Amino acid sequence: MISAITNVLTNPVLVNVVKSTDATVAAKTAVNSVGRPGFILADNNISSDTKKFAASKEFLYQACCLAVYMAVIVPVFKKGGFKLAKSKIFKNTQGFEHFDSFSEYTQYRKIADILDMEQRNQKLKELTAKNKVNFGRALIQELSKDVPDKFVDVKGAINLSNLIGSIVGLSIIAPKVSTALTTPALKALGLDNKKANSFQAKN
Amino acid sequence: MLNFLQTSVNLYYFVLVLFLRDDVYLKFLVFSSKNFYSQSLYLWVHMSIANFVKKICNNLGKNNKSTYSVVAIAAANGIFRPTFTMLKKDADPESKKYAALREGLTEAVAIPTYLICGELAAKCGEKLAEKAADKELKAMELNGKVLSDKAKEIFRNSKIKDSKASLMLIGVCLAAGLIIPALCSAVMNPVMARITKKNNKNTGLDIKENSFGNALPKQVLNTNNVNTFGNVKYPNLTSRPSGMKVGGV
Repeated sequence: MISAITNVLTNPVLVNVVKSTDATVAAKTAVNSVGRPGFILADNNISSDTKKFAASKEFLYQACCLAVYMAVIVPVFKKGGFKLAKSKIFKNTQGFEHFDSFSEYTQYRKIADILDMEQRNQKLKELTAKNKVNFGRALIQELSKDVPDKFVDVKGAINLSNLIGSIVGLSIIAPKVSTALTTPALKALGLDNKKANSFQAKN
Repeated sequence: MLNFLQTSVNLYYFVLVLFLRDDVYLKFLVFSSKNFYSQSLYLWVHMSIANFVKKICNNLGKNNKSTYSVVAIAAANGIFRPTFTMLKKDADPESKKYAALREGLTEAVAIPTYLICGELAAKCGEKLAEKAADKELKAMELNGKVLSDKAKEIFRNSKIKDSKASLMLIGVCLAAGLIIPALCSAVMNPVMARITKKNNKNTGLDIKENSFGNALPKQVLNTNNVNTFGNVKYPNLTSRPSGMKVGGV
């Protein structure tokens, strides 16, 4: 039982997702969009109209934040962060010289994370045959080592840019965008702040 | 005077070089000025910022915890949301103060909760992974697979590290979806009541019931939609009865 749970927890795909900033932020926002409205709906001290209004507002706000984050912030900051780190901060060193884009590094990392060398070589051949990867000699040599270099600085630069993007996106941009979108959406759903308040006043 | 002008120009170029363009021409302008101070400042700031960013990148690349991003976002929310609320021009000053304080407190509750839940979950993950790794290693030995001590250690450590990371994310998600809303619902109202009571005592103002009546906009005035703290009635500004603030609105 414990082994089964640990196998799920240590699954390479899950671990890769868990260790990336954007996935953490997306998971947290998705949980917020369910948990917070749920808590409002579970509150027995308020009228049903107020509950509906507050829960819908919270759900729409979190959903907007998630959409803005995934659609705009992640791609912009991932690409921008990689380019900035490659050219300005690391000046094409510390592994940046091997990769032209962030997606190329992601492909490399997927293969490098495979512990078994035979499986790793098989995966590399498979992806090369499909023309999905086109690594240079240095990277192929690296992948044939017992423990290939994972170029943590590249990963770290992407994580840092994602972290900055998350802060800018979720604390500054997304609240403004979702405030502008939620009010008309709530009206379209027939949920109005005044209606909720007047209902509460009557009771 | 000439020296001052030269230093100013150099500083301007220095800012350009640092933040906008890092080409040879601008570097030449800074260093050809023969101004020792601007040259040293350029080198020192450029090196220290670059080294600082490199260190952060290295640490985040080696070990990126789920708690880092959620705590950073909560801290940023704790700064920006109250600031935006206070910057609203059309709202009543007292209402703004109340809303900003509530938003700040919500994030202040969130930060330690994320940290505690994340670390506790990671601890559980460590114990689980230790047991599972020992079992798997025994099974491997029984199947006749020979592993060196170093290979065993690598296997064990990678299991523990991965399991900790996964469970930390689960802990953070639990905190975000369940524990923080519950804590806010339970803690926020009494804490806000204490703070507002204390403030009223300190100011020594004799605030009568419904004294906000003339100052507040009509939308927030509602006889039943108020929170009572001592002798003062504060409007339920977020139209929200629970302890949380409807995000950014």
